[in-house]
Amino acid sequence: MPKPQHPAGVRSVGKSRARGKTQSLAMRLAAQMGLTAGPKSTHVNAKVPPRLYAAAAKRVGSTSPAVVITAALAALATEDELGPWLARQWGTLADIDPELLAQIDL
Amino acid sequence: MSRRPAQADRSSPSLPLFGDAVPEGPVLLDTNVFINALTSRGPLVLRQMLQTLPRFFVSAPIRAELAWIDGRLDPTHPGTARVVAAAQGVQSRIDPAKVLVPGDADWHDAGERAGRIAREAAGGGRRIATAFDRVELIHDTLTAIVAARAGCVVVTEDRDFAALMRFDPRLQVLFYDRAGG
Repeated sequence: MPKPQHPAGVRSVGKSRARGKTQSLAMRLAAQMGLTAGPKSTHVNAKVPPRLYAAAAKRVGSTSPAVVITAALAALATEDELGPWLARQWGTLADIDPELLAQIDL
Repeated sequence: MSRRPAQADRSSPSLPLFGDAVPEGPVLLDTNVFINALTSRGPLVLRQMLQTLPRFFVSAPIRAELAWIDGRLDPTHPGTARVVAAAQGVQSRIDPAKVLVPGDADWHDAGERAGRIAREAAGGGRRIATAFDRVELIHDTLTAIVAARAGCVVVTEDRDFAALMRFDPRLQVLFYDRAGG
């Protein structure tokens, strides 16, 4: 059987994930949410594990503390709980009357 | 959305199936993902994706379809409260910043594309004749349009999206089959 041709944006299982996409999406979302507007006035002075910092810097493609920390904050700030919550709710309606589900016709 | 999911066509090499491939970009969840997750009809790989990815998108039509559950169910049925609570739980966790909203031109294009699909389907023996069928197809088309523009991968069981892929080469879809299906 011929191998499925995957469109751009999906990858075959086992192939490495492209770097940087999550960060740029998070930054775009953060901007859209108005989180990056205004002056950069908050000072951060923190000691962090060096290997963690280096790994994050590699992901974001910069060693600038401001760039790395902003990207990390954007990634955190734009996460949502929808997926993990839905995974935890998996099957909670498995026993529901099929007649009721038929009403919503989904 | 998918009222009558077509059976998986694993003989088609061009249909990207979830599990054979996984989304690399941002993911937009179709309505059927929510329903199949709550009723345990989705495959394990779908649950794993939900556990793993940090953010998910929906389209405004999907938002409406989920809210429709709140009003549609018979309030006297003993199971309604549980279903509505679950549906509202889903809705309350959708980040408004991640709802892709179509504009005027998108509605126009969706109507035209859905109409073309309906006409071509009629020639193939399938009828898209009722108002419900029409609305469902237009919703799917709107979802496809906003997802393509945003660079989102649509995860769905609805094979109607295969027909939508030809309108926009940017549209990325991963199809899944129901568990045990």
